[in-house]
Amino acid sequence: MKISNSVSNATASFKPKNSSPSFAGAGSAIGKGKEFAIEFFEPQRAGNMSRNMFLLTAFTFLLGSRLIASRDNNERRETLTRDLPTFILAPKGVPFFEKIVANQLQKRNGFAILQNPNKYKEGLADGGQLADWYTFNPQLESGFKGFSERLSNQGGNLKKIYSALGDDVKNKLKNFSDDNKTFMQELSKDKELHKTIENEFKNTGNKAYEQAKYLRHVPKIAGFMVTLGLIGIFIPQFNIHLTRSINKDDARAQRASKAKIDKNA
Amino acid sequence: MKVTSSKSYDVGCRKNNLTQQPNLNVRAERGDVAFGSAKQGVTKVLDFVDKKGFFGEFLIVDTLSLIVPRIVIGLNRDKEKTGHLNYQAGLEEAGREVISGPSMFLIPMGIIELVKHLSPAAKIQRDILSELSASMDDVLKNTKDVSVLKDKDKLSRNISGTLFDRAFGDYELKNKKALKNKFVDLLNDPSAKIADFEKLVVEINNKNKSKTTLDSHMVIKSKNGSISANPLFKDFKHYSNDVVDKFAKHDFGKGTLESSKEAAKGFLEHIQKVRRTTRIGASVASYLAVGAFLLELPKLYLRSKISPAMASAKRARQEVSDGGGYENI
Repeated sequence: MKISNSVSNATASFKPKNSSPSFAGAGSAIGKGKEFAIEFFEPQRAGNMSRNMFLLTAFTFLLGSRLIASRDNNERRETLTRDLPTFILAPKGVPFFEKIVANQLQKRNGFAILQNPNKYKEGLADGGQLADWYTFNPQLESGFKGFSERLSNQGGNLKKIYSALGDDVKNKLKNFSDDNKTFMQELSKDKELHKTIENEFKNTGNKAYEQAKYLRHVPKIAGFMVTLGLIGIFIPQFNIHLTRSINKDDARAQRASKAKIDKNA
Repeated sequence: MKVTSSKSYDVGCRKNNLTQQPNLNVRAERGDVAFGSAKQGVTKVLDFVDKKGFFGEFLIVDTLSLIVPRIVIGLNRDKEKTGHLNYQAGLEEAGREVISGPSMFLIPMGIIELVKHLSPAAKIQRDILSELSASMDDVLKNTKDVSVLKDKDKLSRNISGTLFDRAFGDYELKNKKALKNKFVDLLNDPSAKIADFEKLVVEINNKNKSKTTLDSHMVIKSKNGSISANPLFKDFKHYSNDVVDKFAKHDFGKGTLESSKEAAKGFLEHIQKVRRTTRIGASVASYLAVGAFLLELPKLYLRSKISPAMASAKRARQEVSDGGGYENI
């Protein structure tokens, strides 16, 4: 079961600007408790439950109903061994794994794909943000300098990102510095290359953007594979194997016990 | 986020006229082309899934990674022992996984849609409701003419103008007044298109001289992150047609400006409290409705008295009785 935080998909996690305080004295325990309750019950966009409420529903009613409806002890045990790990891994384990993968991808590939390069737990940037970071809008007041500095501030490695535009650019950037500040100084000295790169980033289909989009999807692919492998295949197979194993062991123990009784008789 | 400048970069950029742009000569190996096409294919598919929204993405991913494999495993349960597919196990897996997951989304979505017909503002996300309330509070505080409070359109325009100031007040913009007027017009024109509003917000963010935006679709930062143009455009309409409309129709008495403002403030707090309570009520109703459905659901797909687990257990025991069963598979 894939459960991801519907809030994080839509927004970037920045420090709040001029938000109105919801409760006076939010620093107090009662205020924090009230705030927790409001967040817990607050429906997300399109009416989805909050993540914590979803978990509570899954554990109480989903798991509960399956246990109550179990026809025998084998089914009851299988419900626990199949569904309990699923309800823990799907909403918590897999998303956390995806964030670790995203963090490693950003570090190794040098492409900015995280909301906050210093806090990978805040998750991936959304599609709209990636479009801003990797396609140069000439309206941008700070110009290509601001465009480059933004990528740098988001944890991107400019040499790696700009090299992805094509082999020609990559060859020309081969001896440039890996340090972003030095890189920008070196690039400013090569006007032709600078202009080429700037023009290439104006293209909304540029290869650096394509690569960034792909890298942004890789954590989700990894999460999908973990869900498929662990929750979709391993856990059910293990469940079936466990039932057979327990019952065979039990039958063998009964057989051995019966044989012993027959022998003594 | 503050963008620091690099002087020598500035100097380098301003020198020389660039007249020619050399062609990018991309020489790719065949293997690179194939891998590049595969990556593009993967990106296209996942972009498509992304665009389906949270529920759409859940449906697609959950179906492929969890529901389908479990149904296949169910169908093949003990197949090597029985010689045929296990339809009971497969059907029970299908009934369990296909219905329970989506119901946890569809039922709450249905409830909030119902509630929206009674009270459109109940559908507004909490952080957006908070910002619109704050803008409304500012309008009340600063109004010098009580007749504005009785005119829904004027009130709505004032709220959107205040929202602009709260969102972009510290932006350094050329033609700020014109941009503000356009912002207000687009939010209040019933025939305005969401794409035009998004385009304007992108323009405002990109033209800001005081900082380079991280997200050109962002209107204002909120407690949980930020509010984007798209949801704000939709929710402003709900707010205007519900809260502002009710507010404008209410009689605040014929006292002084200050007493009318006090009465108005009290009424506004009341409406907003009702909206918040309605949302929480809808959420609790969702929890109970989903719970009731899930408790009844097993009766739909559990048709046999003997569970597949018990049937498999019996087969395992029979193998041992028949003298085999030394392996635990």
